[in-house]
Formats: sequence, structure tokens, C-alpha cells
Amino acid sequence: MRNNHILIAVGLNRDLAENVPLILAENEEQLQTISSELGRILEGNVCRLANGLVIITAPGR
Amino acid sequence: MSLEPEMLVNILFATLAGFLSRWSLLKVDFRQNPTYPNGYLIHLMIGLIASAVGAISVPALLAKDYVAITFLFLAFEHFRDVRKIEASSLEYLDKAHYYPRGAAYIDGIAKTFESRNYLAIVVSLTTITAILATGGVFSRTMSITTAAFAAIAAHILINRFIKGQVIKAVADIEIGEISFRNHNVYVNDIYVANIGLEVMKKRILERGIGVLIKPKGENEKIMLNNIGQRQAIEHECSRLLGLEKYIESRRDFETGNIGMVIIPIRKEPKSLIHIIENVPLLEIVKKQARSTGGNINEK
Repeated sequence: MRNNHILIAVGLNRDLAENVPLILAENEEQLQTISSELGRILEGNVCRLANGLVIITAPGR
Repeated sequence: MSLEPEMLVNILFATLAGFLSRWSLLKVDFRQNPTYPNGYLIHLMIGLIASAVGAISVPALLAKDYVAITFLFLAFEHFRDVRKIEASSLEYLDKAHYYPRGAAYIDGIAKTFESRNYLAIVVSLTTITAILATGGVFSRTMSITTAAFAAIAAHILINRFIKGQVIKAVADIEIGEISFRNHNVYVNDIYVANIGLEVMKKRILERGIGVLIKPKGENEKIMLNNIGQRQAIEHECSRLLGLEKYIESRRDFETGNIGMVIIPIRKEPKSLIHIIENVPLLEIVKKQARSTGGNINEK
């Protein structure tokens, strides 16, 4: 089975993420750009939760 | 011991029968395995050696040449190595694919190559036995003709026994509609994946193809729930149509249907269905169904 780990989160609201490295974006456009860049750099999957928080995941090693 | 010309012809005929049997099963199809021309030639030559082993064994036994027979049985050991060589070669090449074949698929391919050499041995063995058994009873021409029919019968019987099935025997494949609910991508009503980026969502909607794989029964659901089988399907799709960006599949718990989304380089839905339909059904999943009383592959 494949287990994914959360590498980092990107969001517009500081309160949405705890115990996970979080990058705050100023607006939706910046959130999309940062998430895309992080996805490429970390070679992870970019997922978005119902509360708007973006998480970058990668298979656990 | 000198070999009589008549016996030499018998051996050559039996070798030819085994070789033709092996050749007829060596297809270069869209799956491109074995590779052409070098992989093709390697398997053809191994098949020729296998046929010769089968053809020589009976005359050697009749001549009480037990040393020769011992060496011939040693040759069998090498055919087991065919599986190992094929498996290690495919495992090594797997790293070069965007989406790997996976261990289960590689094991199935390697076993197939090994078993087909045994087919060549059995066909040539049957041929030479038929020639020698009927030699004293029939005329020469009649004896050879009988052996040819025996070879064809052996080929058909064994081929029917080892013949593999493909996905279309256990499932119906159709194109599904891709849609997004929030950031989740669905094929019809099956959740497939979470897509966080807007550009990616747009790309999937524009260039993606959604496929629905519907198992025909309960045992077929178990078969398609095998990770190795799903990996084999995804591998063939991504390798043959090219993978622009993304392939993912998920099973619906309620119905057992599988939803798959792919963004291929060649956007050809009909080809995609054809590819999935002809993906081999892995031996490990057939065994699972049979052990639970399934009627798959039973006649």
C-alpha cells in the first residue's frame, strides 16, 4: 500500500494548519503559484481540502 | 555411433515442428514484448534449442545413450533461467518507464516465456515419438503425416491449456465522464483523486480521458481489485498512448467498478478502450478466483 506524507501546507489562513510547515499566501493567485512551484520542487502531489488549505504530499520513504 | 540418414530426417522434422510451434506463439503485437528484432531473435533461438532437445531425447533413449540423455535434462535447467533472465531484464527496464509494469506483471510475462519453451519441447517430443512409433507400421510418408497431425494436436492442446485471458473476458470497458466536485475529480460517480491546482483541473478537463471498468461478476471484482492487475492496466495505457501528465485509478466500494483518469499524449479514447480490453489477466488473480470457487477460465 502507498502511504502519503504531508510535506508542507499552503494557505490563506494561519489558523488552518497546526504541526505542519505552512506557507501563507496573500491571495488565491499567489496560493496557486506557490503550490505549483512547491509541487514541482518537492516532486509531490498537490491536493486541496474543503477548507481551502493546499497540502503537498509525497509517498513515505 | 553414426546417425542414420533416416533418423536424422526424423530429428530434423521433429525439431522443425517444435520450432514452428514456438514461432507461432511469438507475436510482436502492440505490447511490444519481446522487443523487435533482438528480443525476438533470442526467443526464436531458445525455442529452436528447446525443440532440438525434445527431438533428440527419444532417439538417444532408444540408443541407450544415457550420458546424452543426462546432458539433455541438464539443458532443461537452462530454460528455467529464461524466466529469471526475462524477469531481471524487465525489472531493470521498469525504471525507464514513466509508469512501471510492476512485479506481478513481470512475473506473468517471464513465466509465459518459460512455459512456451516447454511447449516447443513437448511438440517436438510428440512428433519424434509419433514418427518412431508408427515407423514400423505405416509407410514413410504416412508415418510423417501422422507425426505432423500429432504435432498439431499437441500444439493446440497445450496452447489451449496455457492460453491466458485478457481484461475484456472479465470486465466491460467504457468511456466515462470526467467532472470536478470542489477539488476532487470524478469519473461518472467514482472518486478518483484530489487535484489542488486550478491549471491541473483545467488540463484534466481539456485533455483527460475518463474510463470506467465494470467487472462482470463478484469474482471479477476480486480480480480487478488486485494492485498488480491495476498497475498492469495503467502501465499499458501510459506506455502505448504516452503519458502527458497524469494517470490514476480508484475503485468504487459500492459497485466494484473502477474509474480511471489519464492525460495521454495521444488522445484516442477508442485506442484506450482497445488497450485496456487486451491487457493480460495476470496469473495471480486467476488463481485467487479459482481458489474461492470462481468459474473463471473453467470450461
